[in-house]
Amino acid sequence: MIGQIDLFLASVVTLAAPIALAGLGEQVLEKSGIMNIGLEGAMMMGAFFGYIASLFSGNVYVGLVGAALGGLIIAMIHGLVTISLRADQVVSGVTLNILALGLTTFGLKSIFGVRGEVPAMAPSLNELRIPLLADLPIVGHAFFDQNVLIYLTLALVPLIWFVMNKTTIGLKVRAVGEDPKTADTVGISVVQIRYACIAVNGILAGLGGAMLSLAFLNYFTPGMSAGRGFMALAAVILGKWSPLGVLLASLLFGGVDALQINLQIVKVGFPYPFMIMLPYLVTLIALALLKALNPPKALGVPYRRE
Amino acid sequence: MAIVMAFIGALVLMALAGTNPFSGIYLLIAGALGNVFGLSETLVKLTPILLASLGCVIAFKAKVWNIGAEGQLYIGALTTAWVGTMSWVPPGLGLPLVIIASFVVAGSYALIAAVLKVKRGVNEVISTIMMNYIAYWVAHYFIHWPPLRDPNQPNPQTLPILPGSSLPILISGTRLHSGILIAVVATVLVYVLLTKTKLGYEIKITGSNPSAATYGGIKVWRVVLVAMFLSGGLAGLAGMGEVAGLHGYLLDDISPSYGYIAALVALFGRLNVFGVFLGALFVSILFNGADIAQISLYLPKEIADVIVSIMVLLVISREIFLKRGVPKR
Repeated sequence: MIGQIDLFLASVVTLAAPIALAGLGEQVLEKSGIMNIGLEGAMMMGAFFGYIASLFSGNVYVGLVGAALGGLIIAMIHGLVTISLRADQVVSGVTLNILALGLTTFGLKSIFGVRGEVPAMAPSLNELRIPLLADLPIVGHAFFDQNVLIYLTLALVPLIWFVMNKTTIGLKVRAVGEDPKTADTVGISVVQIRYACIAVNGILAGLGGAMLSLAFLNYFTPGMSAGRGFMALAAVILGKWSPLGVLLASLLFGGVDALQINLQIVKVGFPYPFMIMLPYLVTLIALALLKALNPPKALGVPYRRE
Repeated sequence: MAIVMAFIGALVLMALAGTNPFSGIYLLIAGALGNVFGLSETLVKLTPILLASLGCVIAFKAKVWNIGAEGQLYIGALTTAWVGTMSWVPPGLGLPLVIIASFVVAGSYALIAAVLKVKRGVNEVISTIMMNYIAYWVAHYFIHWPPLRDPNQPNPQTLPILPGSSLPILISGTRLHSGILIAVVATVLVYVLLTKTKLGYEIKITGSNPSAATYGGIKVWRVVLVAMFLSGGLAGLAGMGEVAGLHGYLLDDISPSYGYIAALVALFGRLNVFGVFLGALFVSILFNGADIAQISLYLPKEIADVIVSIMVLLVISREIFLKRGVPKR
């Protein structure tokens, strides 16, 4: 019984990690006043480039670099269009999601053929077992016998909290997100801060995508992010723009996902389509029940220097 | 300008993919216009894209980001597959009933996101996307399970809809059905709605200046609900046409992302009904050409999505250049 809880908890953490990684990047970016609706696209690009880089180099860590770059491409286009050109952030993000879906599907078919041959397996992330701690009951598997991306996710939570709340850089980011005009007046470069945040956002979303193609499946399928980018956006709102909140909300979504997968396996009598839709339904209900609290004041508003 | 640059991007991608770029571009355009068959297939694609895009225009004008056209399309298609197989419907009423039902049910589905936005402040981009996935799997259930699944077919699909509920074919020997007429009528109606009616005016003010709208005595929440209902209803009609006109039944993956493409077309046409009509036509030609190019040149058809999204990015960036007064080249 304990062993089963142990394994279930491990699958919750594994399924939560891609959402949490993208969500933490989004939380950083939103603190600076920009929203990336193209997060889903950045995850897709991360999943695709991670897979391609890992497959052709034969090294999964080269794959992670590829994934980070893939996410960065989408984020940087979003930055160019919304920070420098001040276009609507929703419009840009929605467009980038379709661009990413098109590019990755195009790329996959160009490399492996349009008839949909089964793509090759890429080298994938191994679990790095932490001695002693991994033997702990219940939490051992979940937190101390995981791959490097999950350790990164868990480490980022206190790190982002610390940088945001205890350092000058964090103060500048928050100032830019709350009141860019005043921040500008005291000599903080709004544009620089926002570009730095969007770079973090793209890299983390890309790594979240790598979790899908290099830890779950070891290959890429078009649209494999399956809405997780949008769940990450929801996690930021539900987590009230705090790193710990984002992690907890991601664990909720990961938990529902783990639950529905297990329900499909044990065949409880409900047809599988109703299982698959559970995470989406829970996201919707959670957003409806919990009101958005304290979003950064300048969120979504383009900044124009006078 | 945007079109030219997007095509240059496409040429580079084709060269990277190992296709002769110029025969690729030729096929993308000529394949869709060259003969009666190509032209009819383009119009077959235009029908859902135009209907769903018009829906996006209404919502986007009110600054309500309905990204849920894809799910609303599936709900409209499912409603058609259900209502279209009801045998008790009196003759002659089948088709009108299917049209009204798909509009109302899909519109109501969109309304859920609008109510969540107005009542609970839920971001409609996230909620409509979540509802796209939910709609897809609800439709999937009815395609694969009784009572709607056709037990006589090896591949999962719903029961064929009754002849009285189908949209007649316009040119025999092609797949062109009368859904295109509905799309054209809808274009005119949306134009009239947005430019000649009080509601159209309220939608515009709500989108451009919500505080002025409130001062002017407009109930913004009401406008948001109505815009979403109409927006979802039009996407539902797009799904209706695919079932009642094109296939005759509902099957998995009935929409190759028409709902998402529609959002891009609405933006590409700058939320102007005439611009959106031209944009939808252009995109239909491109997608039809891409289908043909994939078969004859093994050029992945997703090149079309890439071209359209790059065009939209260029259009929204260019608009900003114009606003800032940077001289046009």
